[in-house]
Amino acid sequence: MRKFYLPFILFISVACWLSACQKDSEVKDEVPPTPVDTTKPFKATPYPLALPPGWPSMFIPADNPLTVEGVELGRKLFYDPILSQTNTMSCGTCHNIAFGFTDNGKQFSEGLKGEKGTRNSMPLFNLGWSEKYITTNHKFFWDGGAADLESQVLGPITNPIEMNETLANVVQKLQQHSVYPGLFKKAFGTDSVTTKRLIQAIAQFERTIISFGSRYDMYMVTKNRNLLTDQEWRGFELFNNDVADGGADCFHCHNLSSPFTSDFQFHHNGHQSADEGLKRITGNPEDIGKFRTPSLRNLLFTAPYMHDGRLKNLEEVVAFYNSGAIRVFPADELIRKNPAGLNLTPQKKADLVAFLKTLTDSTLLTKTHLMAP
Amino acid sequence: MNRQYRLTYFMILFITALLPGFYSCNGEEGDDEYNGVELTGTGSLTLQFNHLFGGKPLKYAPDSFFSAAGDTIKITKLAYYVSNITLENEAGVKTNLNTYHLITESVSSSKTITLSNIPAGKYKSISFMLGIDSIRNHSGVQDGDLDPAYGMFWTWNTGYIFFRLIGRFGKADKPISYDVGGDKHSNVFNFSLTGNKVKSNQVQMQLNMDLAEFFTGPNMINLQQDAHEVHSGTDTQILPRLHQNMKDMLTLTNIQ
Repeated sequence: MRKFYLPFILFISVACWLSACQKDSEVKDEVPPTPVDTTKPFKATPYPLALPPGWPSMFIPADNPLTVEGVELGRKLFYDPILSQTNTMSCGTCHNIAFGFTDNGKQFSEGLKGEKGTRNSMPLFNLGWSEKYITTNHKFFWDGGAADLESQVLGPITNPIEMNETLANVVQKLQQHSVYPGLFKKAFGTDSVTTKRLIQAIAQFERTIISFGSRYDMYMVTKNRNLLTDQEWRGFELFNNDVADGGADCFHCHNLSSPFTSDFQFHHNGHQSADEGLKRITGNPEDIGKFRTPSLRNLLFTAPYMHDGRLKNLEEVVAFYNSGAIRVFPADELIRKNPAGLNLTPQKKADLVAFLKTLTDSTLLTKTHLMAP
Repeated sequence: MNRQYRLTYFMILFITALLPGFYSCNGEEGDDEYNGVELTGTGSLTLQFNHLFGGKPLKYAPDSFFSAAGDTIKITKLAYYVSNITLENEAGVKTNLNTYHLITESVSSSKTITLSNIPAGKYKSISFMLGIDSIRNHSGVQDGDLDPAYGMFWTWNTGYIFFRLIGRFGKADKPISYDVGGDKHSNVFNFSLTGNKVKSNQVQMQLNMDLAEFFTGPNMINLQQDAHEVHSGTDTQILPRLHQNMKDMLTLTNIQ
């Protein structure tokens, strides 16, 4: 009697096994085609992001958390000329850490065909906070053309006067590379290279470029006034006061109460230029000539200044804002409200420049984890 | 008496209820069938897009077509996004299938969208968007058909290109290059399914896109005068006119 049980048990176990298989395949059918193998949940190592003391959290998108492997891949990609058509130019070419991630003091960057752009290479640091505090979709580029840090990456790669490469080619080159597929697997779970993963990795690396450590930062943490000289404090007072009160009226747009020295808005600062700025993106005539308020951090490394690098040094910047000539429509109301300019004496101008230099974070330039691997 | 009356009443009611059933058995078409599209089981829905120019099948250059304004037009590239395919059932409940499809004339497989696991139901209308909804359009870079590597993405102004038509016109073969995008420039097409009486677990719909409408529509495009390029969702010269013309481009021609 007992021997009859065996085939029965076998049948049951085979049936269970078969039904289990069926269940697996059903699950796979429902999952949209994606390179990630969902049967083994993949998890890269969370990146230990160290935020400066007292700073708010930065924006990190839910679908692109910082991971050790992702940041490392992004760093390698950032410095790899494979992203350009002729394999000669990387992100780091025009965003050099030695110049606060700008282009070696140049007014305009040269693309790989030798053509120059029309805007000054933007410094790269504390980008996760720009993304957080700019409340519109106009987050990156001088004119706000990129809606998020990931999408921003696509611009320079594909721009004919920059790296002049197609995304399809970049993905193919990386997929056929001897090392990259393995690195993508470590960062994202499979060795499949996709546009989305490429830009996610670079954005991850860029979010780790945190600049903190200027003398003004140290003052903000310790409140020790001796960290700045008397002249620098005079510059600070000018910076933070209206023209009516004898100040230089900088603080409306470059807010010093936060570490980011920007109101995260777009303004027309009175420059004369054919560049339409934000209007090119929004199509709104009122946005003509508006550009993002940049950070004033690391000015010592990031000359020349303004969206088109027209001002060679800080003395020229102060002279520009001191002038009454710029204070006409379509300049921002904040500029036009002082039609006679700032009337700064040479001493006040020097004081202001001295203060601006206290926003310099030299430690950024020596951070090895941000340099080419 | 009372009981007898009730019985008669019941019999009449019973026969009346059965009558349509008998009648439909004799007729060619069952009147009990839903006067729309009934998907049975967890069925599939296939949308087949056919590309035409002035009613003739579209062919890439060197074949040429004539616009209503008299321009000779050769097409070298047609690509567009179809998204937010939505079915409305007889009770008016809408189900958005939340899929995104890139259709390209030169990739014949892309012209057939097959959607499986459609909930069974009686559907009275179907709608979809020619373009990408603003939420997805501003959610950054996506995978699959929305991979920017397909080139249907503005890298200098984050957003998808909804519709791309590239070609040449006139004796001098001057370039035509229209990229339609920007949140204001998607079009939602809504087609009634009533009157079709299709009952199946594999429903197929044929749609015709006639590019002659792109140049005719309500706004006649004359390539001798009008802009023959647009590459920005903020253009105010020709883009709003093309966007309006595009509303007449698609027709639902067959359901089975």
